[in-house]
Amino acid sequence: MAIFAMNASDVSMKPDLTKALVMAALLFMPLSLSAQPTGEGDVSWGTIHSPKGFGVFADFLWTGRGFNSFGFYADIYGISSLKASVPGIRFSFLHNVVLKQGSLGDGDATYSLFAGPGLMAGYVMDRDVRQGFAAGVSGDAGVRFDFPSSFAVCIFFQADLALHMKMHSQTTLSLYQNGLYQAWMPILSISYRFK
Amino acid sequence: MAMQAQTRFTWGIEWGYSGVFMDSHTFNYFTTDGVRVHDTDTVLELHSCGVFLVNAGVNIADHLTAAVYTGYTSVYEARKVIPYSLRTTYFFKGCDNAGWKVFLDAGSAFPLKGSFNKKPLIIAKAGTGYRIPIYKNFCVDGFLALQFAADHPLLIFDKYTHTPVPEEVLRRSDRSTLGLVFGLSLTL
Repeated sequence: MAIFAMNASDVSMKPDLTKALVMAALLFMPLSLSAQPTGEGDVSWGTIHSPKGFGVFADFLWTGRGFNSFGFYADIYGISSLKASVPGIRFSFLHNVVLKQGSLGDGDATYSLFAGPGLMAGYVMDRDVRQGFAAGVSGDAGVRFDFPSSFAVCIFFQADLALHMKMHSQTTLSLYQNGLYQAWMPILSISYRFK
Repeated sequence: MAMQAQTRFTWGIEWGYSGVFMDSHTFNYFTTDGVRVHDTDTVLELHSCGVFLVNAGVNIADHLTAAVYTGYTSVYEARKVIPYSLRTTYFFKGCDNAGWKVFLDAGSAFPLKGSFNKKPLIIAKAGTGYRIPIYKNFCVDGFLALQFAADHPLLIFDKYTHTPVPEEVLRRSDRSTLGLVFGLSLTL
């Protein structure tokens, strides 16, 4: 049974952030922490694929009205153009809220439109500036498809409003432009849900 | 439960990493002094690139699919191309079931607009993979393949002076590469 579709009666409940934070602390234990039929406590582990880079992530579902997403991926900006020989790394946390849900096919699969704010941090390259530390706020929006086979596919866009600090001969602080310029690049994630 | 594949059209996207590890060339040209140079060598050096392909095909039998692929890849440094190929895939447990597959892929690749060398090249792949059905006909495949490319570059460099060799004195220009490609694909 799809996770979000079963939680229609829980629309009025506030998200249990405490439980979500406990799940975040147990990041390396992707087993089910809850036997609740609503899907709260379900954890999805998967991979991220995008022209921006590739990596892994974990989604922690709460009350069926959203999920917290922790992502870690290699930033490949500049690799193909030979501006960089080593990819950057970045972490992100996104607190996604489901805006609209619907069913697909025979009703055993669902789609969920979501959006949410978050944070990002990393050691990345920005335009023609060599790699440096970047940190700031992030936001994403997209659609998530949950299938009865416990697989989930997500297509979303993410933008970052962050600062980029480059330390070379002198330290410079500037706006992380790639966070905005690359916001149009789609991100595809494929994950498996552990109940 | 195993599903019997129906004859139907399929389409999908595929993406991954291409690592060209062997580059072999044979060039034959005249220098400005009128000396004929025969330059042949095989280099083991890694050239990394991404691969992005889209495909449309048909399940022609329970275990067999044929599809046309096109997209973007690179066969060696500064040689980014758009491949057009036909791929035949055999699924050991059926087109719509979880299981291993093997495939053969062959076709031509054309350079990007604005490239100096406008000649197409031959590109071929042989590989294996594993299919996981996600929902009805929607599947995720992982794949690993060996890719071969054969090209006739128009721009080569003199092995002694490292200057470009004019096309009119180029008598033979063959370059072939071998690489490993792996990635994921989504198929409907």
